[in-house]
Amino acid sequence: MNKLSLGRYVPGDSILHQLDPRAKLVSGFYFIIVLFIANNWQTYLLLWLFTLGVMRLSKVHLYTYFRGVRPLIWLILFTVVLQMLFTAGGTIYVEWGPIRISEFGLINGVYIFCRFVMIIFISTAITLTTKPIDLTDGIDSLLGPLRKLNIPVDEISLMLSISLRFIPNLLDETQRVMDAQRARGTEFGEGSLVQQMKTLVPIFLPLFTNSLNRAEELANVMEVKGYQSGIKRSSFRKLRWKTCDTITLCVMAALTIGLILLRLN
Amino acid sequence: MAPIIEVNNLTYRYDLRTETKALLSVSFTVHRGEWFAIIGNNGSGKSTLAQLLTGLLEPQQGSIFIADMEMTEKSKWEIRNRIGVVFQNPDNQFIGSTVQDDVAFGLENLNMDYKEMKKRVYEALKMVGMFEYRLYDPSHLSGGQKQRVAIAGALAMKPDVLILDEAFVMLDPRSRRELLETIHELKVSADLTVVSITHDMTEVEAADRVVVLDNGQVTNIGKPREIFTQEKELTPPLGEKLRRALAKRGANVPQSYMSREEVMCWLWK
Repeated sequence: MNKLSLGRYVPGDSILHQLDPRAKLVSGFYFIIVLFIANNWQTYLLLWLFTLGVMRLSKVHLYTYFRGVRPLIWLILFTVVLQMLFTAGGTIYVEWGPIRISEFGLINGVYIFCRFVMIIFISTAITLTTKPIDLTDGIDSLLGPLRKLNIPVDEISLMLSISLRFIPNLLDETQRVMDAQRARGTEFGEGSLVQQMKTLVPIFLPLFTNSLNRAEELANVMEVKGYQSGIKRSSFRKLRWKTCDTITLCVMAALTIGLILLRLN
Repeated sequence: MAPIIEVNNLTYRYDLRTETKALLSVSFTVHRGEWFAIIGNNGSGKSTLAQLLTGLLEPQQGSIFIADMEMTEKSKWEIRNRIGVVFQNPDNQFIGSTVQDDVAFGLENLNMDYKEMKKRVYEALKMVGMFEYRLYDPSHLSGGQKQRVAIAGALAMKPDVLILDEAFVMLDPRSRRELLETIHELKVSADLTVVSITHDMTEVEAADRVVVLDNGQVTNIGKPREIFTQEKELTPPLGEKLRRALAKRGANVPQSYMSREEVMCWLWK
């Protein structure tokens, strides 16, 4: 199993890679909100230019982005079709029994499609250029204010970072267990659906017991190293907000202004 | 020499309904600056002892003093700042997502400020020869390298005592030997007391003193030389094995225990 495809981080030194994860996360969420300002082809053109610009800046191959869309393509098409069928207005192009495709429906369908794809492209750009652990740190830092509401932010982010850290180990272990079962004559991916699911049981059981043992050992290690939940801990990993992060936020603001101006026209 | 660890009449049983005791009035002292090995077969109680020494289990009878503090539910956090522990499985004790993060974990728990933390992490990594790897993530390290990182994590806390809980069991013989050498050097340079819980005889040979556990009881304490002479069931280290084999064949070898170097010198004569 390929370790690199997980978390999908692609190492590199592009501008996007160097941005603070907080700047990227905030901009990513903000982008989803601004998307709803767009309502005509000029605004969508601007958004596309922005999205393609970001994709270019990431210096990651375009193919990787399309791979991000693929698992969701049916959901997207389904939504698009619904939009096309149930939006009325304008010239009617097709009328076939109860099915009626109108001008507005078609345009709306295209818009929805653009929105989906742009959201996926932008979020892919973020995950491709940010190490999972930096994302965790970014989330930790952004959720900071929730500490006042007694939400255990530090515990949550430690949990996240530990689970990320153990993903490769679990994959290795799955592979090992599968090999062991294969050596005993189990054939994966064959037979009826029920049979295929049955072959998975002897994989999951050892994985679960091992994970529990692992968790206990890890808990012991953490305790011996002086970890207590709820105490104040310092942090060795430091996020540094740089000028380019501020510029990123300015770019987002400029994008908003541009969208509003184009919408008013 | 002043004792740094004192174990008095330690008794422990997992199931209070039965009479089987994991440990039965175990007593020993470890002196400052000593390398102390605890050996025994499976089920001899050495893992239980390890968990008691690190405060993961609480003594039911008897007491443990480490650095003049008695191990209790309250004091265990302070005692843990004075001991560094390296466990058996290299994978399951790697908490951080990179080498330096992992070494820093214990320091973060002390709420240490960043500058001091960075200094300590770098120092510790240099001590075990892993400085160049500080930005690596654990999946790119070998078992021996991971254990080095674990040792660095313990050293960063500047402990008085380093406890090795079967720390080298899962390593190949070569990394095991290299790590033993490293710890030997560190013991002097970092002024450490080493307690190694093991069933590896090369590790035992490296120790200053050995305690033998059997069925939860101490059956012998002494220098490795004495232990290997007295305990005939133990598989001796290579040198002694050779001496015994030669003796059996009727060669004119000395009658008492010999270390690897001694056998080598004797053969060269």
